[in-house]
Amino acid sequence: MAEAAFVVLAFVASYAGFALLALRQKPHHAAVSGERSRAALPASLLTRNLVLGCGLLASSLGTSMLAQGPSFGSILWVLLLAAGAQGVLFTLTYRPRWLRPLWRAVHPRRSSLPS
Amino acid sequence: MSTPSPVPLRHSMALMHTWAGVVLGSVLFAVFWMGSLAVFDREIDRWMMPATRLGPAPAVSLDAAARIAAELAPAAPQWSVALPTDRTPTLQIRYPGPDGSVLRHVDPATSAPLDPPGTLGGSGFIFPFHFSLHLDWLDLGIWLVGLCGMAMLVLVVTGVVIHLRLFRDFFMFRPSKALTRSTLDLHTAMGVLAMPFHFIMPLSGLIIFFSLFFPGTWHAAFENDRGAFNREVFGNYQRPKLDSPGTLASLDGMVAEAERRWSGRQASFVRVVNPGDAASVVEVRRSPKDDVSMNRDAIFFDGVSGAVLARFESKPVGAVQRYIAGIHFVQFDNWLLRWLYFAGGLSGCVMIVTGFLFWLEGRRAEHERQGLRGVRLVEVLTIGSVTGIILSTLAFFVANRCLPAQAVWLGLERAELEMLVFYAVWLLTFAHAAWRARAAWAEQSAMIAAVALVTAPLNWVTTGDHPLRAIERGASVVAGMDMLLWCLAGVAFLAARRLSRVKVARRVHEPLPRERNLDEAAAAVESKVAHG
Repeated sequence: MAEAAFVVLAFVASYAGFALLALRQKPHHAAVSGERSRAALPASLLTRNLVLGCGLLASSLGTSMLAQGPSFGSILWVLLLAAGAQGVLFTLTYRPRWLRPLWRAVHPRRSSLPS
Repeated sequence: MSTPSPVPLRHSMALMHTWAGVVLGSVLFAVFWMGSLAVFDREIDRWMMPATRLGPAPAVSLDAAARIAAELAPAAPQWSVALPTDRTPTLQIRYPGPDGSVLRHVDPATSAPLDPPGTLGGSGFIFPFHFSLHLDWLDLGIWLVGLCGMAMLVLVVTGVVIHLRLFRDFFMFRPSKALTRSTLDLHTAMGVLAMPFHFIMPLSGLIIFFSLFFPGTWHAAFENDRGAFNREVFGNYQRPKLDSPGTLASLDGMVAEAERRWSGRQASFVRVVNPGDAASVVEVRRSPKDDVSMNRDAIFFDGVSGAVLARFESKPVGAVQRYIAGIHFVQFDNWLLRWLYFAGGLSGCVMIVTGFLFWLEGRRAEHERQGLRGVRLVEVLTIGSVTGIILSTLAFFVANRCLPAQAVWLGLERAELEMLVFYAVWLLTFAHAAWRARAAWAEQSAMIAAVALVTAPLNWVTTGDHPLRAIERGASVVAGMDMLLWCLAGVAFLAARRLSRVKVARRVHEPLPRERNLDEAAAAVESKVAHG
């Protein structure tokens, strides 16, 4: 049971990590948020998404190893990275709005953003 | 002295990528497709060999197995027994016969040999196809697949170099855009996002066959002494027979002793060399099911006294090779990884098809204008090697369920007839592609859908194992295969529907960019995307 939970966590971390990296890119950011502003995304956001995204991808390795040990876990991680990335690819293609809760969670309210 | 290259790096890499892909793509697809299926070869075996759909095996006596082996192969110079596993619930006794190695399945509950299955199944046909294409003459198939493995590594590297905006397009898939754009999107996405898998698989495949592909390595290290190499690396142990009779001691005792020495880790395989001789040797091998590594751990016993003669464990370099081989072979018990490997393999298939489609669509208009035949030829090859091999694999399954048990035709046994059906249908798909050209994509997809739809019910009609019953009697893998066949039918149906629509929509002929100059092509596509 614990193993299954860790596997799910590892996949979610991989998926969310790639989703945050995708949200650093304007077309995907626009598709998810629905904001069509021409301005560049603020640098602070880009940095935060990069750090958070990579952190999640790295934590996915840890959770994979917790699930199946270092040997199987590292293989599992490589494959879950591919699965998460492809999951994000198809979400962005067909259902970008599904990522909106994630976008809300990591993006500060508009008013608090430096203009 | 080096002169500056007249061709920019990315352009030369693009040429390499294109040519390697177009020339070897067909074989690569066959290898990826069969490899993806081979991940589930034992499960396909259960589907194709209904007599072996047994519940979980009870505790097995190897001494009973030895009596069966002695009955089946009284004069054989050696025989082996593979113990039942979760994936193969039978005892598998193998011995050299007059026409090559004979494999008999034995029901562990009754100790009764099952009738020969009349098929090579997943582990006998699909798995060897993956690495040898069944071209055994001069190991031609293995060398061809090795070439493809090397090419795959080159394709991955050159693919990264020529990828214009690796990170900007990381998550780009625009199915509504022009066919060249959307196929290129999907091609790069599948290639880049699963790149570690697509790189590790061919690399580990090459390393598995290192002694064939890179003979210089062991020739140098062992001064051409094959025997010493086999002893040191593979743990071979031999001793001459004495030609005086000896009685085989208890195999169960030897296995128990081996497992004790392996701190409780299980044995999976026992081989007896020169049974009945006073100098018979019993080799007990350790199961690969618990580790990534495909270990070669073995303990050799004196067959008569049961004393330990030798113990083998891979040395450091060999152990690394076994670990890498283990990553490729997936012989460990891990259903999650098994499914992820399957998905990874299929995403490789998608990558190859979309690569072909991009090549074809990028050149079609230009070739038509110039009266060149290249597109037509590659299209026939592509259709036959993509939808064709899927269709012929299904035909192989259908033949397995439809041929009578004792079928013999033109001197071919049942198992060979199944293969004949496979190759005949495969050949027909190429002929069909040559005849119907572009329309063959949709037509063969429709055929895949239709055949896959009826293949699962054929299993129920001929064996009575509909999915619920299969699950009930502990053969849920059979139900799983039925379900996957239906998934294939669904996907093929959607593809066929979509493809027949594309044909209508493409009446308005827009000139498509050629990929030969990738930069130009991408710029053209890009401007089209940007301006509408």
